[in-house]
Amino acid sequence: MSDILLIEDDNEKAKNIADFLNDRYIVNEIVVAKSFQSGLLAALESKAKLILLDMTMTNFERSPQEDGGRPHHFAGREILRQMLREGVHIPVIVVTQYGRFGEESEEVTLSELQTELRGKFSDYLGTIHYRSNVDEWKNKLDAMIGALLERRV
Amino acid sequence: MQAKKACLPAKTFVAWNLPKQMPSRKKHLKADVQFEKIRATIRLQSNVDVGIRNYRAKTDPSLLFRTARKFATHPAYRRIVLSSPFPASFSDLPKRGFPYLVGYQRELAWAASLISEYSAKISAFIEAKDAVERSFLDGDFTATTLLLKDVEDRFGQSLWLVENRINLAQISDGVAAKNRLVRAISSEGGPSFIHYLVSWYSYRAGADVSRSVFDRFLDDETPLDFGLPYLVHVLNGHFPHIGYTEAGDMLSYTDNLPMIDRYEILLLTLQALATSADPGEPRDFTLMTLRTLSESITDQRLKRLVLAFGGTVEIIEPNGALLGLLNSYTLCEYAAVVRTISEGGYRLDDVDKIHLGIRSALFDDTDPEFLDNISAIRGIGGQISSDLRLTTNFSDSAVEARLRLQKIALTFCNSGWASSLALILARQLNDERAFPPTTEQIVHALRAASDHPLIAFAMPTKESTESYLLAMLRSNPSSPAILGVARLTGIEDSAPVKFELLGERRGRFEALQQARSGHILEAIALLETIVVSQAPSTVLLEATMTLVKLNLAAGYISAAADIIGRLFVSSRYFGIIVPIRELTDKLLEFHNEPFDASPTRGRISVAIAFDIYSRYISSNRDAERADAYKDVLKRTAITHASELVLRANEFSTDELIYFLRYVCIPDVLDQSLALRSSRDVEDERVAILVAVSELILSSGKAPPEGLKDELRDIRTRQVVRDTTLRLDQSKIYVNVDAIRRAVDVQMRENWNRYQLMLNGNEESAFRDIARIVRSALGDQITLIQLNAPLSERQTLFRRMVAELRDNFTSNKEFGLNSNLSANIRHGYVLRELRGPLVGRNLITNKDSESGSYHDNSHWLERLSIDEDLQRSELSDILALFSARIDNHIDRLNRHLLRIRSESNPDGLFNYSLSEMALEAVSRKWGKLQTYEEFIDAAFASFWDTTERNLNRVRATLQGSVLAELIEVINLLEVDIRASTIGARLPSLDTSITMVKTEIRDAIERVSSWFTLSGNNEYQDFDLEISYQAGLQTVKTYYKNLSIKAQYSANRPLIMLGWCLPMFARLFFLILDNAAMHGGHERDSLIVNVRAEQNDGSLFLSVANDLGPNHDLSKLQARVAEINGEYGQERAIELIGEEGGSGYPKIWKVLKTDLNRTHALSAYLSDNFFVVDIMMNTEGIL
Repeated sequence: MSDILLIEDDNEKAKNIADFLNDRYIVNEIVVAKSFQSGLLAALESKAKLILLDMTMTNFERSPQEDGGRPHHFAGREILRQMLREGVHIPVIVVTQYGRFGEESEEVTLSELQTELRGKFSDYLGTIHYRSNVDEWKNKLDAMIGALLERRV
Repeated sequence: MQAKKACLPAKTFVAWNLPKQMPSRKKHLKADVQFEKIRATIRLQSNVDVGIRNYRAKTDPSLLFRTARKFATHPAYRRIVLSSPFPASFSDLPKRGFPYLVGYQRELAWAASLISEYSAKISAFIEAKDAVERSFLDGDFTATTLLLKDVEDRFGQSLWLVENRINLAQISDGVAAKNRLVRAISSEGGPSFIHYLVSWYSYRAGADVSRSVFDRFLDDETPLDFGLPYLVHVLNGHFPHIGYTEAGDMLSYTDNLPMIDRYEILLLTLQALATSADPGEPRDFTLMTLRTLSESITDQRLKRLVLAFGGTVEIIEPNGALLGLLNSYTLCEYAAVVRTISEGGYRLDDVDKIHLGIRSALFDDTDPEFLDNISAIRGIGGQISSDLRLTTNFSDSAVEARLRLQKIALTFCNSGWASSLALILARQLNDERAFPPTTEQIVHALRAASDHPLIAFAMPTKESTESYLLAMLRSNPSSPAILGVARLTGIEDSAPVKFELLGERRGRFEALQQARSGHILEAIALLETIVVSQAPSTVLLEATMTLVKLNLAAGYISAAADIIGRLFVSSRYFGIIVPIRELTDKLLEFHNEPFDASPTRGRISVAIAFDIYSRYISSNRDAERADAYKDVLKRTAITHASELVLRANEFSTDELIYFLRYVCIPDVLDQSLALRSSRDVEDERVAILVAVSELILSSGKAPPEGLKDELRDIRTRQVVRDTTLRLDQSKIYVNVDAIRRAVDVQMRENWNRYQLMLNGNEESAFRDIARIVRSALGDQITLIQLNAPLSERQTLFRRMVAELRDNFTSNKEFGLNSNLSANIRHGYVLRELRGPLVGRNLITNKDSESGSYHDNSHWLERLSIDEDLQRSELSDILALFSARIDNHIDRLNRHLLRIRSESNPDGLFNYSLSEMALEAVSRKWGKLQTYEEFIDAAFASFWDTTERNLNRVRATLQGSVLAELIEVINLLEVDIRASTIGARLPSLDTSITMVKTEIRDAIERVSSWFTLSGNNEYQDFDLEISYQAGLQTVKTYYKNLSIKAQYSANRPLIMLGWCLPMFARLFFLILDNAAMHGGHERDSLIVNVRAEQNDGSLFLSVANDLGPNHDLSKLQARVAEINGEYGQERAIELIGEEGGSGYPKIWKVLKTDLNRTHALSAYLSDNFFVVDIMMNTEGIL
């Protein structure tokens, strides 16, 4: 059985992904981190077999007491960069709801971002475009996970 | 501007050139004969215009150069070729456009040939130009005006003249005078591109246009795609890389210009070309042309160009006065330099002289007043002196000085002395004696005001450097200055006189020589000796700058970083002159190497280097700055930077202070994995600031005010945030004590009556009957009292309970509904839930008169103006979305967040009392002995009910309300995707996706309000804290409104803790009004809050500015209404209702919550809306 690290700040999306993973694969534990910092910490310490990574997140986990700090348009990319820098090698799939990232001069399309991630990070498997009201992402995620996780029969 | 096109005849049978195999004697045909032959050919053409055009397009460039000048003066062709070489007005110039584009060599030949016809006049102009430029430096603007008039009288109107007059007008009389001048020039008419160029001169001269702003604007507005943009760039101090093609394009524009502009542009073009001209025929032809021109025109720039294009000149005559100073300087006779300048009356007509004087005075303080004296001279020379003194000394304040100097160099970029100044500034970045000159240095050397030995090192090639020095040596064979720098080149042995440098100068020159020869390690070794010597500080720092570049060249990256770190903490000026881009590029090569193997990871200087990059270049390496910060902590095995103070002895104190204060800022600290929340980051920053203060104190200095200010700001922010959070969680509130007091007399009497009835056995009849029946028939009988009317006692009891409940829920002043209205429904829910949607520009406000939603200009403006259908469709979709959102919020406010009643059956606060419940409490409370016990029990029960109601509210908010709002956003998403707009506005899709998460957070925040606070005790507070708390909430709700708010008080106003929530709400209500009404259809708002305490009274005044389109007469009427209704019966009725201005809520806060005797007055004053409040201070202050 495998552990999965899910770095995702949107509760609904995190729940849908976790439900899908539990339905489809034999999973020991899905650890959810809901911010860039908690995600980075979890990734650097993780023994998971797979990391599912959101791209845009706030610095800290939000709550009525915590506004989340700075938003990071490229939090996922930064986590990948830090993993590379610290020599942590776990397969990573980016799951995002957005087609564009960043603002103004920094803005990149999903396709450009994919090209960049593919070029820089060997542990990056690909990106899934998530839509809460369309199930297409499940098939794509399933295909991308491939044999990484053991399927339920 | 349109690119011009080559205009050549489709077919021509005329031979424009002499036969290729011309007999040698014919090669020497006199120009006159050649000219006549060409005339004959032209006559064969259909008309003269076409003939000239073909002549220019087809003729061999050399022949064109020899003959074109004759057409310029010949009566038959003058009108076509050069009708007005020195026009009285731009209107005298031809407007025919640009018919020619005949390649570089022919354009050069044509321009140079026509110029050569007027060489005497050009020489005279050069002399006049020099006088004008020196007069600007002198600061004698009357003389400048007269000199410019003289130039106009002698040479007519020109771009050069206009440029100088614009600069003069701006400097001497200000922007209005400059604008008048530009308007007058514009009315002259003439070729439109001239006025286009003038507009650039005018913009460039603006006092508020910095070098960086101008450069950015120029690059954005004039992309380099054809000749004119190149011309605009070189005329405005830019030096793009150009080849022969671009040079030809640029020269072709001179055809429509006055003669002196033709000449200046010819030089500018060739100066730019000289930096990168490829060898070959065009280069040789250029050289030939320049040689010929330099024979007839007296201009030292021509000689430099000859050298730059690979030629030689016999003599370069340096500026005599300057060379004299340089000789003294080379001999370390600094006092003599200073004395010569001061005895000359501090005439600052030469930038190199000023610079030399400053350096000499810095090295020798024999005349301590010298530097102050030259800085005090009026005019541009004085300004340059003042700022060069700072930059030469690498002073901390030289950052601004350098920016000012760059601005001066930009404004006067076509003056020789501006290039001299630019060369001096550029030398601090790249010492051309040690390293190859940059393009900028080459061009400035070619344009500089004076010839002097250092110019040689900015020539484009080693050969041209040596030729320049040799030509200078021929005129001054024993000059120490020339002989000194000759040591750096290969010509030392050719020098007629041997010369030895003195003192530290010798070591420095040896190091430069080694560097220049590529012996980097030897140069480093020499410089490392110098930088620890006792030489003057300027010399040490210049040597250190050279050392940085050499270390980078040698690949000693960590050494370069360490030096840069040391330099930067000693003076911020180094931030803008060290090669930080190059250093960080190199650092990145080692950035991801394993920590223990990396030569750079963990060094404090690396973090400082990335910080310099972040400050002065770009934020695109901020992530690496944060990495470097974390690496420093890792290297020292600590988790918090504030702990570094315990290891201070391991670092340079200055570098540690810089690192802690400027690198360990919140945006870097929040990347630390040891800090888990924004609060942790703030606390760590506070600890760092305290540590920095201690470090500074320990070095015997006083901590700067900025440290204290930042500490205070963080503390205030924390208190305000804590207060706001606590206030949010104390919105559910009932003033039970006030209700107790309000009902006391009547309720106590009722309670006594109830007790009497209970004790008087009023119901004994029924119980007697029951006893008799049971005794007769046994216990098997069940007695039921059917349709029995309630007894008076029961009725009274129920009335008492109902009255207490009604007061608890609906007392206008103290009850739950009033507080729900004032603390939650009035503005808060609406703004909290709308906030994210407004922030993402997804909803607009409703127009109060038409009832329809305002157009969403944010997104509509992103569609083209001609996309009417799409605009209309988008407008409808977004208006519908706004309406749906508002309907849901309205339902929440008007129906759900209400006390349940017959008129509000959906109200989530349900306090209805069933028969069973009443029976139960009747049995339970009927046994109570005292009135107090009864009241306590009743309120305890109501609080229990409130707790259940709050659970229901939270569940509803996070359940159905959230689901409905998300559904509305999903509908918007569907609508946008179904339309044709989605693909055009991808960022709209992003905003919709992002706002879903934000709405969830907003619902969670609203839910958190529905809780009973366990702690209503507040510490005494400064009134400003309550103002900040109110302001903070308003700013959160009006994210698209920039609120500049200012608070002032006549003394610290420390209020009693209990009234903190009331004052925070009071400020919120007033500031919310200001933002809502004053900020209507604007993006900024000014708010001034003043508080004064005098003799037992507190005076508050809140003023907000009004937009230019505010309907003041309407507002005046509203002001009268506010003042008329305030605190009156009708207003009091509105306490439990939402909407309107909120003044009933303000009255409630002041009158009932704070229990103040007070007066409120609203009025208009100088386009400000003002609310004044006066209240007594007893019990609150």
